[in-house]
Amino acid sequence: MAKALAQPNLTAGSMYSQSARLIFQRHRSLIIQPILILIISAGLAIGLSRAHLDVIEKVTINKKFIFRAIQDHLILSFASAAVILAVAIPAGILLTRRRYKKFTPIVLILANIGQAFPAVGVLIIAGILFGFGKPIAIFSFAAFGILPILRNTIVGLQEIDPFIIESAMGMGMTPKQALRQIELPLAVPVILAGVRTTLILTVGVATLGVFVNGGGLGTLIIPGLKLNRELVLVTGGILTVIVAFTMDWLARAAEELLRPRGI
Amino acid sequence: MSNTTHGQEIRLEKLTKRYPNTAKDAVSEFDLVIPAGECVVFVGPSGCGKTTTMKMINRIIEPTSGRIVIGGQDVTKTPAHELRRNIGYVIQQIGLFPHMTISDNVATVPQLLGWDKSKTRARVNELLDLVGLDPSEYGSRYPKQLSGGQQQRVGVARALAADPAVLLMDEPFGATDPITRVRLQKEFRALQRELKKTVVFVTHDFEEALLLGDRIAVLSDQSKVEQYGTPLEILSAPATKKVESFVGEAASVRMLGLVSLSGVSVASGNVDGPTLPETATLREAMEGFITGAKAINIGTKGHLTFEALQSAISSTRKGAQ
Repeated sequence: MAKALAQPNLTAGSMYSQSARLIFQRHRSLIIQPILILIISAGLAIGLSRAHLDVIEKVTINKKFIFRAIQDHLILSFASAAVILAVAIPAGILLTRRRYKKFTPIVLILANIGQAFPAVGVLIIAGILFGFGKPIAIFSFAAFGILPILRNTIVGLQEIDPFIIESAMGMGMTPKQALRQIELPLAVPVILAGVRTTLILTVGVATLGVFVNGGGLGTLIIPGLKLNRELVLVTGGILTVIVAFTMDWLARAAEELLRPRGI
Repeated sequence: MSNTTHGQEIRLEKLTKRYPNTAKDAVSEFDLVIPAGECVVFVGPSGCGKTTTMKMINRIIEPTSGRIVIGGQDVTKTPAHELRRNIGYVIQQIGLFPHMTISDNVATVPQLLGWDKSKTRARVNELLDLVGLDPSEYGSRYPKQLSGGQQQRVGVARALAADPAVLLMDEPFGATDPITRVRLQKEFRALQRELKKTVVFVTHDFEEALLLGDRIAVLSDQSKVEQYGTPLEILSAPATKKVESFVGEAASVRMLGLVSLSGVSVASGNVDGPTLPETATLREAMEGFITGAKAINIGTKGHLTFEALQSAISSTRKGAQ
């Protein structure tokens, strides 16, 4: 490796600066994004600390309320993303096995319908039918966000060169060994891209959790709207953006880390 | 490679493949005995079923009926993954695992068989050496960092890793450029002479079949065996019209390429002219005369005149028929 990369006409110094530049170019957005997130957060914090709050605003614009909302929001997003992962990845694997391939179109249609339904509608109906609270919110969001991971798992597995799988079988791997050692690692980049999309989706949709008493940043946005307090509304909005940005950054860092070398 | 497993006989009995919803068999009642330690080349036009036939031997394609016997043992019902661990498999598309290093690729079957780490590592290094890739330089690379020819060497090394008795090769050199192909073919021939595996080799390239095959099976539609014999037998006495058309016009010239110069009678003393080793063929000597040589030195043994070559050629043709 080192031999192949080294070029004789480069001095050690210029090689170092060149590879440093390469790393920066490759990871530019990964490095810039957290800086942006910090700047936005700091700006919001400074703005809020200087604002003159009225009695109604003081109910929501305080550390305790805001951190509780963020915490709930993270719980809603992560929990629904976890439910989605637990359902969509195994389902995607099953739907690419020969025996279950025939169900793929039907399942994709169902997942499409899940995403096409207005999330608020699904949430309210689920609330009315099954009661209010976080669990109902989590499962409703999961139904809404299942499509990207399901689709990407299927596509990621289908896109693998069939001759790679044939040679794995030809070496004497059992179907399970081929799946674990060859197919899944090769599908990881595509699956992770789906995970990122889903995480962002769930962060956005989790603002609706407030409608079924699920908490989250919706507890700033909706009262802000109803009571005509723009500061509260905008604070909730910006915080949602910050959380979504952070999730996106984490997921992309995971993509970089988990992508198998060599592909 | 001190204790290499030599090849085992493969016996294919009434091997048949019929795909669902098709009117006729893809391969119909295929019977063939492949002797232990020989390289048998299946050659035939595309779509004749030669690849299907080969892939039924390790049951990548499951036969509809018939029997596969390897080394006296019926493996038609053996669990496929166990059967395949004892059969090396090389395909045209190579199929290296892109996310694994070259070493890990070659170690695939030893790992499936549960070899310990040091034994596996030693074996991987031995095999990379055997196919002409320095383990310290290439072992930790990934497949996409290698050229096509190098990748196929790794493919061959991977197939040989667990020292199988049988090797199946499906047009392994077909996707490489002509120069690399000839080099790989010659290397493989030398390797096979040393290892003496039982090799089933599929190609549509008759030249390749002549170069590599101890025996050639010329196949036509539905994998029907038109002729099964040594390269010389097939060139000198094509059994059917189809074989004749496959052998082509230049059969006699090709035949000369199969006979070495070790048997020709030479005049003593070396002369002014080109020199060929004794292992060179009548065809190479012929080419020497065509390009203007008056006589050709055969090693240090003496020199060959055009008249002596002519009589050697005519006795070869008589001998073959």
